[in-house]
Amino acid sequence: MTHKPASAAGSSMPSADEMDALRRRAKALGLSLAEDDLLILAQGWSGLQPFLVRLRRGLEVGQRPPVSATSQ
Amino acid sequence: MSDDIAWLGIADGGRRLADGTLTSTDWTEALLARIERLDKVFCSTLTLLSDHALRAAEAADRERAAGKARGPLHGVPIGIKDVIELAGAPVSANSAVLTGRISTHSAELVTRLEKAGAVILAKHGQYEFSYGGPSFDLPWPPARNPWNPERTTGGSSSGSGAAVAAGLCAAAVGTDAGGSIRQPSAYCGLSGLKPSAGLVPREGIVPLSFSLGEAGPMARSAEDCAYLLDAMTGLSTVQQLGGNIEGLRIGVLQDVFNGHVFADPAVVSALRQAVQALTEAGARVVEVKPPDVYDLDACGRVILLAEAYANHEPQLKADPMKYGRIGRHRFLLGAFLSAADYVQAQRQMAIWGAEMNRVFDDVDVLVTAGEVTGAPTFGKASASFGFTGQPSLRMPFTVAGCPALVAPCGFDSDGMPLSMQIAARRGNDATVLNVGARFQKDTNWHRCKPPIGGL
Repeated sequence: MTHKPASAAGSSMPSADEMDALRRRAKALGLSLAEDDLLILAQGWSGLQPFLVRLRRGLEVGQRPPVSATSQ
Repeated sequence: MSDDIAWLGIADGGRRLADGTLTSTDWTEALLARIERLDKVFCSTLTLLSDHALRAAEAADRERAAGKARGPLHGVPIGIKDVIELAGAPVSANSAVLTGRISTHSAELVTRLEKAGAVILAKHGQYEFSYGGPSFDLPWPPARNPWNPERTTGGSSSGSGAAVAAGLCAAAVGTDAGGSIRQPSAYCGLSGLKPSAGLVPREGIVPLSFSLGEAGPMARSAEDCAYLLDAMTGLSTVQQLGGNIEGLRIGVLQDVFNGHVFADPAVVSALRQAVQALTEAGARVVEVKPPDVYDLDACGRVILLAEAYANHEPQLKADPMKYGRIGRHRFLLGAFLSAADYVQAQRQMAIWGAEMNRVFDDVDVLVTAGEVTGAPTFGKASASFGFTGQPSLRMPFTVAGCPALVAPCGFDSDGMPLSMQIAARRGNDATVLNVGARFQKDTNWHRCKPPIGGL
């Protein structure tokens, strides 16, 4: 599993296609966002991807987790 | 006011109250005057509770004169993070979204602190809803670090970090989901404890997340953290601070030593010396294989993003510009997560959190850095998503529900405080406090004061 270094994560410029995709998703979600905000969110979304990949690893269909350590 | 009053903590201030060389009213008045004088620099205090505090201090003095002392917190002036509700006081979470809201009830932890005799003298500034950053577009400006006002305090309990470090209160209570007690404590040279999950009542705290987050103490020593924790929980951790760590098994997370997680070389050096001090006190280092901190960090980040967005969704759709820039971006990012992302994060949190707790079958505590650098400048801390770059070393213990204490252990080349983090199995809060207290018996890092004498 690799991660972008701290200086690079979330700072690369998203492509026009990535921006369009995020714009469409924001509209579908009912969010009205300024272009400046969309650009920052696209960078953040890109930086988040390695974390999401990690979460999908190793889980089997139907695997029931133990009780969460943080539940009260 | 003489400097010694400004720097009194709970233990030493409590002794002076008990022996009659100081009254709570004098202590409180002195701190209120110091806040008026210094806080235009440090911006720690969102709401100054002068009348409330003086009434409480006078009542504490009357009770003590009548022979009724409630305990170690009796008459001790402290602050609380703004999200912690105090009946009759404003509670905005430093957001324009809640400006003008007044609490109708006190948080349960505040009720317990006041029953123990604590004097609440301020509600401290913070990052917006405990999730934004040091934005200059919020109702109250970001707190400034007493060790260098051009540096951030970290957050989100930013005002509490500045206030305790600047000698504006004896101690404070913050909240911590992803590190919001521990980061400002690390950056400001304080001792700060994220207690075990579920230990301190969450009722009456404006929530960031529903799965993660604890209220806990920020103070000048591990011992003072224990006094606050005991008052909020009914535990007796102070009685367990014997300082004996002979034979204690320490696991040292290797991430900052092997480059898995980047850290300033000064942090690596300070951490190595801190571990050495603990071994000289009788502890022994045991090799451990904990789960990957990146995995645990991923769980916590995704859960926080999803739950924070869900909590704020109506307002974000209606008027996103009511949020500050950094908070707006961070809250909105959660909108793009899928239900499956959130559920996988919850499943993995249970699995990896349990795995982390199993590490404590082999060791009594885990030690790592509290932060990987000294406090950065505001410019470096202003990126909305700089936090996606590498994992926080604090989040793994949040996800695992473990108690985690940060304690100062050195300085970087710019004179900014560095810290170590000590964690234990969920429920072993007294263990981490005892290890911290022993370290502070043998070292003086926690006694260092920021260079603000000229202000």
